[in-house]
Amino acid sequence: MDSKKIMMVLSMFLIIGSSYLLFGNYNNFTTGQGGITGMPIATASVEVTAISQISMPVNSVSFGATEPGATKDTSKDSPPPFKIQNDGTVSVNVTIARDSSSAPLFSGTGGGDNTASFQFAANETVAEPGSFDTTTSLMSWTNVPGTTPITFLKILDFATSGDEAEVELRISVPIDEPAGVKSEALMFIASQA
Amino acid sequence: MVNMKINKIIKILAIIAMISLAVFGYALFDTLTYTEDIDLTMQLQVSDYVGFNIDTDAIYFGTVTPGGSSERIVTINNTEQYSTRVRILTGGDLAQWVSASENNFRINPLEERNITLKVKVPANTSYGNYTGIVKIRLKKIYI
Repeated sequence: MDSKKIMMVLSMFLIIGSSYLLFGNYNNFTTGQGGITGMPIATASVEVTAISQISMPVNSVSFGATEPGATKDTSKDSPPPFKIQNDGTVSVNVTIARDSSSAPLFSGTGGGDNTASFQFAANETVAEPGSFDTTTSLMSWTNVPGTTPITFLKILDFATSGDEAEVELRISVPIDEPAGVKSEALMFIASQA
Repeated sequence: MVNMKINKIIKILAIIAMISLAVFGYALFDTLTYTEDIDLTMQLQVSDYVGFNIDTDAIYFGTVTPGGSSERIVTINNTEQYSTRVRILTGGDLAQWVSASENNFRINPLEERNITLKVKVPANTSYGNYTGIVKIRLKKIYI
């Protein structure tokens, strides 16, 4: 093969090769993901889902020293209950569960998950009543579940004038509960109502 | 006469080939090193109550108390016909507090993957607003 033929073959190869690299992937272009640079774009789309999960530290509500057999709750704001606020722009439903990183609050007889030893209830705040649907939310004392969440707060509004709720807590210390500091971390999950 | 025409054609082809060679080299380099970065803003407030913000235009961790934590899920969907390597990088105030459920992984063509971003707020954190950036770096995989 003479040099002219080699030159022609090489030229054709380079022309076809560069054309393929430049234009071969155009069918994969997706609009709305940025400017065309000559190479494929939109390798992936990324979406933030409308679910948020927040873990409460165990010491946010402290009942202080309590005798075995005693019952205490936050309904009189002493200690104050948890307060949940909707900071976003859509109404949310909220679930409650024990955080899997934490053990149940009590280990004595009648303690453990989903028992009357540790209960909660949704409540309206004095400052912002009517922030959520009180007819479908769990407004009466309900056992705190294990790690399987249950929805207790329905349609928490996002308007600043009415976007907050309280989570009352009640403890009943088992009569044979060993002495010591007791704590349980709770997990709240909000999703679009 | 014919030879002169052939020589002229070859010269033109040679010039085109030189240009093509430059384009070929550039395109090959660009393809082999191609990456795409997607930046998402992160926001967190530390206060004495729990606050949710499930808006999807950024990663809002809401409001948590010191010592608490918050999670958001990000869905990564590979819309292409080739595999992509995904790296998740963080920056800003929240960089040291945020972790991803998985990192530096391969995502196959048309595959969808949920990644959980978790922020753990140290117990001694002062009340206030904290921000950061999560950078999702995508790199095309050839093998």
